[in-house]
Amino acid sequence: MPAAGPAATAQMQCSEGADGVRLRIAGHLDAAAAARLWRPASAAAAGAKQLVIDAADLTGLDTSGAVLLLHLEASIPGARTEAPTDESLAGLLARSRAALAQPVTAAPAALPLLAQLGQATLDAGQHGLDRVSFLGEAVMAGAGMLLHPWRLRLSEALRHLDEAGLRAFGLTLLLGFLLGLILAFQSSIPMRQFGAEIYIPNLVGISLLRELGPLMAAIILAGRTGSAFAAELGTMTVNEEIDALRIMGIDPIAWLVLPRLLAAALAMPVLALVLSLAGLLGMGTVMVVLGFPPVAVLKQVQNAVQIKDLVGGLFKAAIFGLVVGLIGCRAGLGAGRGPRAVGDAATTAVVGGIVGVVVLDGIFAVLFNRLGW
Amino acid sequence: MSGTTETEVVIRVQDLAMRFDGRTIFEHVTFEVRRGEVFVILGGSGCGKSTLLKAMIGLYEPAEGRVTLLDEELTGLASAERRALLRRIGVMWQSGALFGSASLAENIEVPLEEHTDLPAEARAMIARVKLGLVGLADAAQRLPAEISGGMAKRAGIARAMALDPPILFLDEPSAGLDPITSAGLDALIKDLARSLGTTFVVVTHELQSILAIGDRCVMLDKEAKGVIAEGDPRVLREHSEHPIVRAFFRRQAMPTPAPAGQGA
Repeated sequence: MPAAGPAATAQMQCSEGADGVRLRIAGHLDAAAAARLWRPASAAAAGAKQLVIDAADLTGLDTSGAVLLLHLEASIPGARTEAPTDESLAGLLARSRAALAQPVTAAPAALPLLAQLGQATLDAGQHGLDRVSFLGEAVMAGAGMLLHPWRLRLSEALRHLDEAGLRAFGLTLLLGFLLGLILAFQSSIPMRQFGAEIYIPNLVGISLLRELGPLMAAIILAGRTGSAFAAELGTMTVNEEIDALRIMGIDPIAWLVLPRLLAAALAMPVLALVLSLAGLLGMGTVMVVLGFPPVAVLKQVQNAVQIKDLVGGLFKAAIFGLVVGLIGCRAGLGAGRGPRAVGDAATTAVVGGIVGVVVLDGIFAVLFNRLGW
Repeated sequence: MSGTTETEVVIRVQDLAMRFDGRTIFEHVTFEVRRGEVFVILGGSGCGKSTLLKAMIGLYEPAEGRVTLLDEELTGLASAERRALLRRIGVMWQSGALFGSASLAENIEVPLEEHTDLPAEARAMIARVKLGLVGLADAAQRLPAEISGGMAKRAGIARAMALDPPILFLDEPSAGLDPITSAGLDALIKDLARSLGTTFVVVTHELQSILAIGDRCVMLDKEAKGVIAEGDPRVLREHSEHPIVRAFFRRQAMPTPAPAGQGA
């Protein structure tokens, strides 16, 4: 057993004789002493033709100290160590030497640039295929659910509806109100130059109901709910719960994904509507401040906005909800292993959700234009 | 019992009680751990073994009582002194708790980098020695997600030993391991205790491990909410009169309320 009580910290003496350099280290050689002696001892050993490390008088030794001795021993070919006279210290040194001698596998070398490019292309292709196959699975499961609607886990869908919808109302109201306020204020500046401030409700009303309401609601959904889907399903993937479901003969898509998709698709039109209405309220506030009576603002909105704007917006919102939900669930189920997997899945869900929604919005814009909506 | 008066007490647990939300996990727990011994905390599932361990390392604040580690009382220690004290203990967590984004070698280098002035070259060598000691030299560059449960436990021990602490706490080192790996781990613990003079506090309910490595033990019980036996596990197995201790060591189902008669 190493010396128990407080011991004198290790000191080094270096002497040069006929048989080369002799490094004598005596005292208690622990991590602190090893750190202190590492550089001077290495320097003393470096120039030597022959080296003897005299550790006979060590009173204490830990692995860090042993590593210093072994480092010195390895610095000169043919260096020799005189082991500590204390048997347990000599044992520790021998044990450390044996541990260090075990073969080590080197870290895998990085691929050359061209191979990396190829690997990345293959990975991207594989990911694309995975996405398509996930979409296919989801569609199949959804079709199956239409045939057997009683199989849907309604309680689960309601829970997610509550999470994604009801609990997002506060945030949606606030953002919507502020968005309407800002839009109205910003447009009032150029409109005033033409005396056209009365048309602010037309501008803000149409922008909100057709575009910004669904889009902003989708961004809120991606941030709040898409990431939550990914994190929850990602954790389940890491914990092998998804595998457990599959082995029990339960389709994880039908069991976990469909209730979430349904909740997201149902919650989104409501969120978009709430956001748009809050936005109109914000716009109305600005108009009142600018001196317009509320009745005039209301009339203006009624004239400008048609029911097809609202319906188109809400339809888009439902599709956005479906896409954000799909991307979130896919990110979660496709999570890798290890602690970073869940974080990566959440990031993928949010980034993918937002990008997907914006791209889809562009497609809808062209489509609605062609269809004359 | 062992009669060695000169052996130094390194851990002293006095009248310790833990409660969560008014629910008592255990109370009146008192024992001492001496330098260089392998001390086992054993008991059935849910009896508070891991809670006791976490109270001993200061992770949980005890409801009553105190813990003295290396002559310093853990409860009520100022944060700087507490950190200095915690540097002198190592903990292997039940799951390994390795840092997932770092290789095994880097995992071991973390405490060395934080708490010593050793140069990078020395840290790398120490990591190799520690991994070699637990037989994982060839896995040094792997990530925790790429190794098996048994390897993660051994890597956990290697990391806990990084600073050569005089006391190592191990939470369920052999749970979920095959008998060969588990026996290898037991041999490693015994070996390290003997050659490095490290004191081990091991939480386990693996009977064979307890008998193989334990110098002394305390046994906790869920119903009794405290220690029901203390001493050499081999002696307890042969001579304890306590029905739960007997049932535990003989791997019998507990004689539940009604019948009292038992064979052998």
